[in-house]
Amino acid sequence: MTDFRFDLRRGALITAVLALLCSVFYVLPANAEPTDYADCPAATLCLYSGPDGTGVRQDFTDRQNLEGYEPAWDGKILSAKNNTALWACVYGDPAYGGVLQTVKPGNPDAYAPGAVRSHKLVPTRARCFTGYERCPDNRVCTFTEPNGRGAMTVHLPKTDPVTQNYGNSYGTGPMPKSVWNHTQKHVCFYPEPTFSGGWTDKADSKRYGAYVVLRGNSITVPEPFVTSLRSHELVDGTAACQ
Amino acid sequence: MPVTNRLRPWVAVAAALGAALTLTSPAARADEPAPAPTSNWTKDTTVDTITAGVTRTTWHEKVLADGTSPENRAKPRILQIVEIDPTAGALTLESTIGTSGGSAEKVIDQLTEVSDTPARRPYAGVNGGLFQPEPAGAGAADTAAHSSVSATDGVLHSSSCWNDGKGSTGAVIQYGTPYITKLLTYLELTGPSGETVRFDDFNRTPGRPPHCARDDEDTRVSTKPSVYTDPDEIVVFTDDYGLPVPKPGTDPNIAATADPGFEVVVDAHGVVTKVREGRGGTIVPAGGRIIQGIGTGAQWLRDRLAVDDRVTIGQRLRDVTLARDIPLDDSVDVVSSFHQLLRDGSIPDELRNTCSEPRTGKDGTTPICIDSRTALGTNVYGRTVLVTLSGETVPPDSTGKYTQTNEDGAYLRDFATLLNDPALNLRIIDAINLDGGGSTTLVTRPTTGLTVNTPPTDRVNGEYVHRKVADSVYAGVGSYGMYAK
Repeated sequence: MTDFRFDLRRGALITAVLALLCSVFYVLPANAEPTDYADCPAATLCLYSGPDGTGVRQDFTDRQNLEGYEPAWDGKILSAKNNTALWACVYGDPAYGGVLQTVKPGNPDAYAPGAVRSHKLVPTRARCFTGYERCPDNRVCTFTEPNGRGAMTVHLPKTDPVTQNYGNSYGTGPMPKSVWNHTQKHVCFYPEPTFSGGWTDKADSKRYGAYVVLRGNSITVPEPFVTSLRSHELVDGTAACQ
Repeated sequence: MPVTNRLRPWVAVAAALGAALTLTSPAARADEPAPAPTSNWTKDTTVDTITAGVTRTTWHEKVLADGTSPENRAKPRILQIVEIDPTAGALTLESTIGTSGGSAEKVIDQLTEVSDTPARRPYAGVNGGLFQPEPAGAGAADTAAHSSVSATDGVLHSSSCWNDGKGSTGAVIQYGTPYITKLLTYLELTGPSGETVRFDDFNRTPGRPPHCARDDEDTRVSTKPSVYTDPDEIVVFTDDYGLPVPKPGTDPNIAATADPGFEVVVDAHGVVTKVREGRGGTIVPAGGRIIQGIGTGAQWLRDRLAVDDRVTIGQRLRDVTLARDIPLDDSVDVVSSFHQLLRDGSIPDELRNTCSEPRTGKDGTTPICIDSRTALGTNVYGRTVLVTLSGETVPPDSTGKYTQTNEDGAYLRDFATLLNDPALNLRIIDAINLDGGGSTTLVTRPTTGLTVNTPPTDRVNGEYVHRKVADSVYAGVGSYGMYAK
């Protein structure tokens, strides 16, 4: 019992010291004498495994956007220096998902463990808030987070052998929170995997039979449709929906 | 490849502890907080929620006891900010040229024409880039030639300004946000034998570049309006031009426009269907193009293109700032101006404090600028903002006519300073100045019909009217539920 208590106290002391040191490192990164990131090459985003530009460094050019890192690096980044002419966007989840932090061109930044799991470089800060740019031409892309962020599914349409609808059914797959209809056709979404079903609007009790995203539009899916899209078809005119 | 840094823990710890001590020592205690910024502006307590994700916030300039403004004006001004949050609703951000790229239309008309269904018309919009009417010819007063690069759905309607190869400021609207940069267009015709020639512009009279030089061959002929000339040009007309293409003589003051020239009609497959001496009066076929040339431009067309030949009309949009091409697919719209108001949260050093027509303020001596202003930008939350600075609106008379107005605005740099004012805390990061003066228009759709929220300031036959403009930027309806059949 005594030994246990002693161990607890010593453990608490060690924890307190570590916490103090950590708080010094994490709360005051700008005040600790840093390496000043002098080793970060020009036109490069440098990500470091240690605080203030210490530890292992990984370099990225302004065209190297990563939706995820290898396991040894995933969530291990503690500081960054953005030596590019672009804004750096770092995300708390893979695929530009989760909590967003931005780094102005020429600036450093510090992170808590696990805070950086994907990144990209963009010409204007506002584009950190979207991920639509990943969607290739002539495809319908769906995303697990609003505004084109999070995991993206690129849908290659095919004709359903049962219903003859030309599109895609997701079954139990992730339901989209945002969509880019990057095609020349309109898209009709349905709440059932069988290109059927409908929604009732709570506001006016009206019944919807399809949710339409017009050609070329990228949108965050609103209520009552969000988290209930299970299939979609591509049509030349919206009259062909349902 | 990973690179291992030298760890210097003793330096970091010593410095960190030193810094911590410095921060906590009484001698280094932070000064008293700076006094809160004062402002002559008051925000309306009511925010106009137009739809989920689209709000309009209104700021009013302080009113003195005598009814005037504290900034040397007879009446207070109004600052309106539409904020568009693409995560809160199914919203798009787009630009439109209305039904006809060659015609100017009121913003409210351009937005109405976006959809035949009232519920799918834009939630809010403002006027777009600078433009000039063609000076002569049938209906000239309602024509519109863009002053700099303009595009909708990846189709260019105007080339960029040349500016010694540095391009001109524009906002590339894509992925629901505007990106402000310097843009340069590269335009090229390729004939049937593979020979190429640079062409000058889209959708305007050959020989008369409005507002700015399109290349180093253009020379300035007047400043008000700002007009250039080049006697050797090729201009391409797109199928959304919507008017008969210009005939010779559209500007009696510019000799080059009198050149009879040469004209080529191209179908939607890039095949030449008609060539002829002379030009003008022809409607561009659906999906096709019309190419007009004057001087050596006409000669190039005359020598190389015949019926059934194939001609390629190449267009590239270059981001000069980043030295990258911007692929012109149908997700790209562009509106242009000449000035960036805010860049990364700061006012660019090069932004001048200009005004088209300064007036004397209420004190009778100090000049003020009454140019109304329009801006397009993004804020710290990644949301798009549409901004207008104008006089307060004046209601129409009992017959619906505006017989009074309240034209007001600001010098250009003063406008940027207002947008960046800590007292207002608008948190705008980037912003471009769009066309102002009588063009400044803000339209919203509160519930059903579209409403104009800015005063008309152009006077026509004793009545004030909202100006017809070349293009508009708007927050649109990106999707909708379709009632069950």
